[in-house]
Amino acid sequence: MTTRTGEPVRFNLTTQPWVPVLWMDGTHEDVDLVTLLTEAHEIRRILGQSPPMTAALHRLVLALMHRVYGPADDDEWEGLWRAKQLPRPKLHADRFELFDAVQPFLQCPAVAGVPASSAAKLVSYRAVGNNTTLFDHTTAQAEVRLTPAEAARWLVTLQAYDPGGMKTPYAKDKSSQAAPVNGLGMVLVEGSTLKETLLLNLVPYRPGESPRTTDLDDRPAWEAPPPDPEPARRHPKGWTDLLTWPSRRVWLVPRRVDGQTYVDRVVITPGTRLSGELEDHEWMAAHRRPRIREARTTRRGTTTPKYGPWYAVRLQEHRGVWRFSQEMLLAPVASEDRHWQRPLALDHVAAMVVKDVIPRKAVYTLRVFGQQLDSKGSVVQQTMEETVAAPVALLRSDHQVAGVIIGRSIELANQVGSALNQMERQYRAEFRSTASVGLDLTYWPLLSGPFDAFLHTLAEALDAEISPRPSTDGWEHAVRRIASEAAERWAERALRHGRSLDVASQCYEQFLDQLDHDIRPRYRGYLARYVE
Amino acid sequence: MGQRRDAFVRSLYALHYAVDSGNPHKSAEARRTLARLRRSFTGGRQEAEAYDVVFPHDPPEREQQVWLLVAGLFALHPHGTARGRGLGLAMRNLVDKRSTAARRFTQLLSVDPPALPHYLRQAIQLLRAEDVAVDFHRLLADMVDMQESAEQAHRTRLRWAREYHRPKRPTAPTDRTHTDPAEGVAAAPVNA
Repeated sequence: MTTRTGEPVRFNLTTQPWVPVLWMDGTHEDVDLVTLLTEAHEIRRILGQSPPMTAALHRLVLALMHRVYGPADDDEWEGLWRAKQLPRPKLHADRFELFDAVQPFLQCPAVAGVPASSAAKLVSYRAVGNNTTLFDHTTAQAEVRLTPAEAARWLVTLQAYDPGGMKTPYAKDKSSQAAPVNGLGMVLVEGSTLKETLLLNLVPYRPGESPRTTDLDDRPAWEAPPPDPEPARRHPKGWTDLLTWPSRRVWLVPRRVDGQTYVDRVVITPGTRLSGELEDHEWMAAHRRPRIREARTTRRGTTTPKYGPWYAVRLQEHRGVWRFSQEMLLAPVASEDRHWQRPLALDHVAAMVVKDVIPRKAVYTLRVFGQQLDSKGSVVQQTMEETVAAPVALLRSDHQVAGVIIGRSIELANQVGSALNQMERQYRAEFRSTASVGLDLTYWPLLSGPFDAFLHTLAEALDAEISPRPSTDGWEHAVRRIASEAAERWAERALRHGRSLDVASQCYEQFLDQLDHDIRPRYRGYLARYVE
Repeated sequence: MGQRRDAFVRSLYALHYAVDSGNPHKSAEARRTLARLRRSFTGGRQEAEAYDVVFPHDPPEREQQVWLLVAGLFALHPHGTARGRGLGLAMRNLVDKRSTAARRFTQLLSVDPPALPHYLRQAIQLLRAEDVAVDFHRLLADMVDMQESAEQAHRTRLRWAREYHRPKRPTAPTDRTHTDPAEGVAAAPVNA
């Protein structure tokens, strides 16, 4: 058996294929980092085994691009955008060795002495230790062999998305914090090729200036010396530091079997905890802070509204991330107290539209990735990926009314959604029966399609400076149709008869009444000032 | 099919108008016919009394029983046309006048189609007592629907229940504008 200390086992991420991609012609392949960048214009997208893996790989590649290309300002960015392909990157290849004894990629040689466990620990869907999953029955004793490429992908994913909880300690400290990307829905602006996608998300990078809170000593993990094995806590030095955050101390143990290299054992110990607010450092997410007290008019003037702490917008089961379109797409209204912040990439895209680098008619997609942990933050409950249309016309901050219209339109869906729930609660109260699921499922997921259509037509109307009334009408009718169909199906449930049917019909009719005589007129009333 | 049903129900309403026509001969004739229809409820040989009224309109075979039932119900409570006033709405109006009838309606929603004629007869008699009209076109269509399948029966009951509970809006609703293409869909529920 050959371990890392014996005969050298090599796997260099800049020359060996390991990033899974989808080519424009529909074929799947693993590529190395250099090919990934130079051929990015021929690649459709990076496609990992799970949404978190896809997200984590994008973060790694973006950090790499910031160090290779910058771009220091909008002009440099424009150069990259207009070029047919990305220039060949100059890389310190020795920093991308997966099995290096001194400077292994995203690992910590100092923890090599900790007893290693099965490589299954690296793979998030495997059931090992206290990671209970429904379908997988891997045990700690079972041997799991990962190829170096697989190990590298999971290593990157682990650093971004590992859940918290107790880990094998290096010395004594077992507790770990969930890796930073767990706390947010990571937003990726997606173009038609990987080159477009990567550039759309590549904001100007000038340590000391941009992005905000990026210091001069910012660097990605592979440029830093190997981390101290003891868990630590610190503020990020900047954007690439956060993109490659060392949330775990890892050591991969390779083994050669029949001339092939495998990783079958791995050491994972707690790593660096993140200090500071995500809102100040994380640029691939939308952030919001809820209003906790309305503004009041007093004798001395108007008091300002009070806001709670900042939260990153996350994906929620069934609800659809489009509900946060305002926070994700729109520039905050200048006159108001800032209470949301869209992903930084969109600010940059908007600026590029104003400079006519990006066409005004372009429509990109926001792809949002998320991983939901249990209440203790230590077990993965599910991973999610959702998309929202992002018409470029809406990103410009000079469309002041867009915010009001989109905000009210989402509010309409929220109000109708709570009226639906109210209908069901009222029925249940009458019979003291338990809650049923299903009403949410026949409402929320069906709205995302019509909402995309609404955004498209709204963007077109605003851009052409015509009334957005047809667009808001279309949305209102879609909500009405989907909600009443959901309510209809609910009222029709096969078992209802007699009093059950009687009460259900009563609740249903009250819901329709509220919908048509309260919620919808109010929506129109609010918008009347803006859409005529 | 719909035309035959329509013609049949119109002929029932014609009986009512004939009674009030002032023409003694026609009036007496209509009274006799209505009485025969009422007698048909006693079943057996008496049911044949209704055949003369129903069969000239050529009911489809599987709808015969329902046509006979509706003819009998009409004879219990003959009145002029009451378009759009389904059983649910009629029961609502009845309950507004006589609150104890609410339980009758819940019963109507509970019983299976085979038992329904009995409860319908009682309901129609109550409607007559409080002079509340009901649309017999709709009633016939509903009854035919209900014998289609269990789902149809269920949908029909749901429709009655919804009519019954629909909140009253005395003044014209404010948001119904003419430029609203989906409003027609909204006003007529999906199962209509």
